[in-house]
Order: sequence, then C-alpha cells, then structure tokens
Amino acid sequence: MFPTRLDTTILDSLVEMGGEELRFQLLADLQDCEAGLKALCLSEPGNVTGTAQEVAHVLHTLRGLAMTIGAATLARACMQAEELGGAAGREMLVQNLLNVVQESVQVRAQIEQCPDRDR
Amino acid sequence: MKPAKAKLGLMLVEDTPSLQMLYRTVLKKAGFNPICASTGAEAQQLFASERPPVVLLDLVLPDCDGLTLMTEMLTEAPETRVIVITANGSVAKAVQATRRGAFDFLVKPLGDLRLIGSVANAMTEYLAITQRGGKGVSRVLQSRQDAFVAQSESMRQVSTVIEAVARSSAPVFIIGASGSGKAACAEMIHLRSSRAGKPLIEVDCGLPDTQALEAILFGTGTQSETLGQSAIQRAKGGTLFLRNPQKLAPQLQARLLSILNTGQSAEAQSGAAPVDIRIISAARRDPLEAIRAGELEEALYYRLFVLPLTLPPLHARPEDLPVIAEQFLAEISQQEGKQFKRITPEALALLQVQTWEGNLHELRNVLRQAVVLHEGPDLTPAMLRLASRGVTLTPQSAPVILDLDTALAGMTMAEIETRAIRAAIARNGGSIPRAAQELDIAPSTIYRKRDDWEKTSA
Repeated sequence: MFPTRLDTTILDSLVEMGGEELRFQLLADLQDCEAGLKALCLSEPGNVTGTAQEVAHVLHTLRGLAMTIGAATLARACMQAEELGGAAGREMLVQNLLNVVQESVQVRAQIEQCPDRDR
Repeated sequence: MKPAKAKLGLMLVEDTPSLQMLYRTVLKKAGFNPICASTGAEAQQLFASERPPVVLLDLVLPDCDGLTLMTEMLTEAPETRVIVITANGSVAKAVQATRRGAFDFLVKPLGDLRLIGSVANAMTEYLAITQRGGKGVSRVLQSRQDAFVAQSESMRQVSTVIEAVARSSAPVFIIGASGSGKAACAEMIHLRSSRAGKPLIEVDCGLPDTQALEAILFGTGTQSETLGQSAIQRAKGGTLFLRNPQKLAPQLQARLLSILNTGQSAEAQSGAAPVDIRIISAARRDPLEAIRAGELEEALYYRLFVLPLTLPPLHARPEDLPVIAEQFLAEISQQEGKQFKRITPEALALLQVQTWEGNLHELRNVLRQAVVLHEGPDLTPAMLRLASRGVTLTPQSAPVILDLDTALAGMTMAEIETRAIRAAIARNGGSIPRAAQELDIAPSTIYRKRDDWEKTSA
C-alpha cells in the first residue's frame, strides 16, 4: 500500500483523459527528471556539478509533474529543494536532491503498478 | 462553437512532454486545436510564422525565460492574449506576468474547466478587440473588468491609480455611483496585487440582519454554525471587499476596528488568531458624510480610508460609451444566442445623450432588452427602450429623428445645456477642444462645467 504518496484518483482521471499513452509519457518524464538530477549531483560524489539554474529547472519540471498527478510528497520535496537552492551547503543540497530522486522512483513504481486501462 | 474555435489559432508552449500531451488532449476535447512548442526557440519560430491570437505559455522553459518571451510576443503583436502557466508557489512570477500584460495566469495543477474557460475568454476578448479595429482601439480587461475600457482621460487616471494602489497593502476606499464598477475595480486591485493567488471575499455590510452579518463577517453569534467560516477567515492571505462599511451596526464597527487595530481576530472557538487580510471598501458617497451623520465611527474611517479612489459615472465619460456598449452587445448577443454585430450611429448617438443614472448596470439592461426582443445584426434606435425624460422609444417609433421640442419637454435649462455639451463631446470622439469649437465656446467652459457635473454626481 502507498498511503499518501500518490492520489490514484487523480492519476486515474488523467489516464482516462489521455489514455495509456499519457501514462507512459508521465513515467518517461519522471525517469528523465530522475536521470537529470542524478547526473547533476552524482557525477562527483557529494557534489553538485550542474549550475543552480539547471538544478532549479529540473526540480521545477518535476514539481509541476508531481502536482499534476497528485504526488503531494514529491511536490513538497521538490519545492523544499528548490527553496534551499544555492543557500544550502553542497552536501545538504545533494542529500535533498537524492531524496527527491528516491521519492520520484517510488511514485513511478506506484504508477507502474496501477492497472493498465488498455488491457 | 467548435468551428469558430478551430478557426482561431492557439499555441501551447510547454516543455514537459506529458504535460504538453495532457493539455493538448484537454483542449482538443473542448474543440480547440493547438499548435505546440517545447522550447522558447520553437515558440518564437511558430509565433512568427503562425501568429496565433492566443498563447498558453509555461513561464519556465529550458532555453529562455517565459516572461521575456511573452514580452517579445506582445511587442510584436500587442493584440495577442497570453495566458501564463506556473507551478503552485510561483504565483509572484505569474502576478509579475499579469502586470506586464498577460491576459490570465493558471497555476499547476491545471483544472480542465479553468484551462478551457481561460482560453475561451482569451479568444472572445481577442475577437472583440480585433473586430473593433485591432491595435490601439482600447485595452479591454478580463471578466467583470469591462467597466474599465478606457479611452477617456478620467478612466486612464483611474487605471493608473489602480496599478499604484495594487502594489501597496494599505486599505483602499472606492467611491462611485451605483453601477460605476466598484466591484470590478476591487477585483482589478486584488488581481494586480501580491495577494492575487488568494481569495477575494465580498461582504455587503448593508445587510439589515445584524446577527447574520456578524456571523458572515466574524463567524460568531447565533448563526455562525450554519454559515461556516467567517469572511475574515476565508479571506486569509487575500482581500476582504466590504461594501458600504458605513452601514455596519455600531457594535460590528467596534469589532472590525479592534481587529484592524490589533491585527488579531478573537474567534469564538479558536481564540485570538492573527489576521492577514487587505481591506478594500466601497460606497456610493464619501464616508465623511456618514461620520457627520453619526453613522460611521471616525476611528474606523481613518482605518479604512487610507487610499481613496473615485470612479467617474458613465455620463462623465461619454467617449468610453461606444466601446463599452459594443462590448456589452457582443457579450449579451452571445449569451442570448443572437446575431447582433453592431450599433448603428443613430442608436449610438441616442445612447450617448442619456444620463445613465444606473451607469453600467442600466446600459447593460437597455442593451439586453433590445437583444432579447429583437433580431440583429444591427441595433437600431427603434429597439432601444430608454427611460430618458421625454424620449421613450418603442419598436413602433420611426427610426428616429426626434422632435426636439418633445425631447426637451420638462427639462431645465441646465439639463439641456449638459446634454448639448455631452453630445458634442461624444460626436467629437471625446475631444473637448473640438466639441468647444463646434459649440463656439471656450474649452475651459466645458472643463469647468464637467468638473461641476462630477462634483454634483459624487
């Protein structure tokens, strides 16, 4: 069970509107954001290699996605990381970004487990 | 409705593929057919080649700033209606966009109806503007803000004051005759303020039932349970719009004053709670009169009457009437499923010499009556049922060269003079020097008389 991670009623209504194609695209976009964040913060362990602008852009994209699909915890995590931004120490920022990635992976897993409407 | 929508272009600029897919789907199901761009560069190219009248624009793009892109589009094609999209928590940027000329802003997650409604409004407004001749005709503002179609100097001044007071969080007091657009003015101030993303709650303090009013405003008293949250609670972070605060009962005035003095609201259940609201008040007359009459507590007056704003009555800005009337006609015609396209010059001349005691409400009613009872496309004098003294036209009336003696019957010399001057101003497109030339009098005479009318009507 995933008690508060994803509001599946919202996801259902989106998939009803846009079909399975939309669900696949949502999964792909989440995965892209995760890959982007990982690339920005994991190429040098404990360091963030991307510019503040690049990091902010990926976080903003992910937040928009999260809010749209009803993933409140992920949206909040993105917002916190965005707000911390340059003000945080590098280590703290990396930790925040990794938390965001982890949460996104969990959300994606839950979306993948939702029944496929086209089947 | 669908074919009309499909003919008008719409560009969607969103860089997240799934969100682009989702918005496109919603829009297509509503009958729109958007062209899509994923980057700023792509959007610039498409805008140059397609010139879409309406643009839905995500403010955060991978290769450029959405605000800059919007400014470029509006510089190239000012008639374009740009709706900006932003994530929750970035509302300040959206408000900034509105100040720079965005038509509307939408906050993610976007509700289907809100998205479709905003696009439909933008298209309607685009059509209204372009059908009137496009650029420079007038700046038409959204929804209820049609009262502020401003070609007249007096309304341009009001718009400037609105922009200025919106940036402050101090209380505003709007004074204006019935139907002059006080609520629309309050809405504009709210939408242009930093509180735009929060509620705007309206309370009419003229409600005769004091207990009910207490419950509505403060959430206390015997009726509070059935009415739910107080207006002050609901307006948290936003704006509380008080109509006729001078009509509040003395004990309610004292409570309101206490909240404004302490910044805290003593709620029945929750104890003292901080109050974060901006207050905009409105009345027909200067509240000083209410103080003199012993109806309004002086201390409350000084709390509410910080930034005053006076709205001119419709008859004091005849140059705005043609544009407002045409916009009302287009709206009403659409609402009533009629095909009215224009107001004939004769009908317009007739409308321009009315006194419009009920201001925009009265004008709207007269036009609605004409639209409901007749078929378009032209709105003629014979269709107008005007309450003007000595000039009641019916559909049976000839379309009409009025008998001057009949029209002037019962009017005082001052009324006749006022009408003659207003009609001349209207005939001369709002130009007082040209109206003065036509009437063979000095422009200063008209300016002086106009000041006198405004004082009288206030």
